[in-house]
Amino acid sequence: MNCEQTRKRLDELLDGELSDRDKKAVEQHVATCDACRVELDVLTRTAKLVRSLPRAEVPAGLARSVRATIARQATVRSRAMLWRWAHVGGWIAAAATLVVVIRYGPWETATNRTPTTTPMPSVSGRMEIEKGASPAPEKKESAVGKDKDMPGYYDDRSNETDHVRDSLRRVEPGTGVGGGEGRPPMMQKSRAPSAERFREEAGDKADDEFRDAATLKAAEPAREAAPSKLAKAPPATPAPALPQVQLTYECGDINRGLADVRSAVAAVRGEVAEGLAGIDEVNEEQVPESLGEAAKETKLDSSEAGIADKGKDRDTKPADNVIVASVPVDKLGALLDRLDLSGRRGSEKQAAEKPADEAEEPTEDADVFGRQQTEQRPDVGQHAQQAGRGQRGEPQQDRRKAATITVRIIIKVKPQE
Amino acid sequence: MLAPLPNEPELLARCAKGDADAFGAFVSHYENTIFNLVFRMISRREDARDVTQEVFVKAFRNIGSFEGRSSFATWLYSIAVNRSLSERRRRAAKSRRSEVQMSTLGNEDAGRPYDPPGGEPAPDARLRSDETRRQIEQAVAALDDDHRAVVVLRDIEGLDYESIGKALGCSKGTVRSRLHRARVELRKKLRPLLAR
Repeated sequence: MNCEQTRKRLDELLDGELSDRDKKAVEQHVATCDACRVELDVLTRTAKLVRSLPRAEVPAGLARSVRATIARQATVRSRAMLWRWAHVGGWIAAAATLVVVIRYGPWETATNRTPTTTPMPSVSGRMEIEKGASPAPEKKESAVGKDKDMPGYYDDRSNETDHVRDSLRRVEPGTGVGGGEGRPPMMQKSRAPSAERFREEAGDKADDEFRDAATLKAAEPAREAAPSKLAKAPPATPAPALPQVQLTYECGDINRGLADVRSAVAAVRGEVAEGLAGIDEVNEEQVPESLGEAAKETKLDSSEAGIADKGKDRDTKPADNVIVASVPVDKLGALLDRLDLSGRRGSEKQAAEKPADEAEEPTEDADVFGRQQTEQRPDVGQHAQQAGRGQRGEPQQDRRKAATITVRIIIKVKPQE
Repeated sequence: MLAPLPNEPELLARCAKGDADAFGAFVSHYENTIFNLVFRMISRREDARDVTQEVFVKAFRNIGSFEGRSSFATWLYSIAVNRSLSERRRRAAKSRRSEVQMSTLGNEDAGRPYDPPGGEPAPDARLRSDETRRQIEQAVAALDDDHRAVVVLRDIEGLDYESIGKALGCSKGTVRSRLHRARVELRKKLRPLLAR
């Protein structure tokens, strides 16, 4: 080790940072080199001078002051943490409240839970659908904590995500109440579709529930009034949300049936049969496949309509035509009478087949159909043989006099028995 | 270098939960060391008191960031050195502003270095008469920040090279080279004393 290497390591020797081997090497060189020994001596004395400085006396009360300051800091920090958590908790609570309000808020009740005078389909129809349409209604019922057997029961959360099913329920009679949800149709979330919209939606998908629902032939009220060509001129006062009604008119000849329906509609609207405005006809090609099959599966007798009987005569019946028309609400009863769809025979038969406790149960259809409360809802499955009959049961003039209702009439050929 | 507290890990765990009493033990144990380190770094007693208090408060606030890769004392030294250097920089900037103001006013003494009130190197009153100690303190205070820090940590606080490197955030070789240059500088300043 030479002088340069030694002097670079004198500080480490002085500070005890050298390994034994290096220390021995440096010491051997210093012992034999006067210049390096002097250098080490000066370095040692310099360090000794610095190390000789006395330690400064700590100011009195410094530790106490520091501890007091830290204690305040700890208190502030704990309060800050509490405040921060309280802040976070407050936001969480606010968010939870918001969710609850949005989910079960007053508008939900107002729009979907408020009982209305919406007509109820027949008990038999509802029960038939409930047997097979909705796979798990109990779960939905438990969600709202209500008994599904109660008349006023409905589940506003049912089928919210099933857009197609919901859209079909809007236009297909009986699917709302009879579709397994057990709630009045007016209480369902629905929009009143136009005929075109119905065809679009119904043409997208068709499921068994739709076919089952089509057999009920009951009125399905919608929240909003369906726009139609006749109803383009808005009334002086906004019309209330009106239902849409689907009827099935069976006849021996399709052309005769179309003529009958046209004339009946024209009559109740005070028009001539030709050139009717506001009547949409859907021919066979335009009828969605699902609707066609549903119509094919429709039995004449409403008591036979249901899941158990669906599929019968599926391949033997001809296709149907559909007429969609807007008629005044107070003329709906007249239209039913003209098409002999007032349901007198059907209701009598239905009453005979229903249990005693259900047979006498009045429906709530009266308001929508413009009839007395005690009248039976129209049995739309009956074969019309006396089209053009006198207007029995002329609906009373009620508050919906100025409003129109969209009627969807399926004209089908009566199968040959 | 001051020996650590025997129950240091337990105290650190309590401090991490916000236990001010546990940190009080550290304050009692390290206050002399930290105060002397700060005092040798900034050379002003009153400032050293305030800076020492800030060092402990800062350590308590940030004790959650202490990962145990060095001793707690070394971590505390690093906070003290950094805080002392910040204080020196602040004072230097303040001194420069004062010089500019005096020059602008046309003070006849403007050409002289600014001597702030009470700004003389602040040895203890008992040492004020001791010329040797004063010269040593002035020599140390005259070193630049990096060199002064290694000299104080090594020759006054007695830290080894590795601990100094951790406290200053530099390598052991850097500590060695800085210490060598600092001692060469001190030797020049203390030549009158060394010649005796």
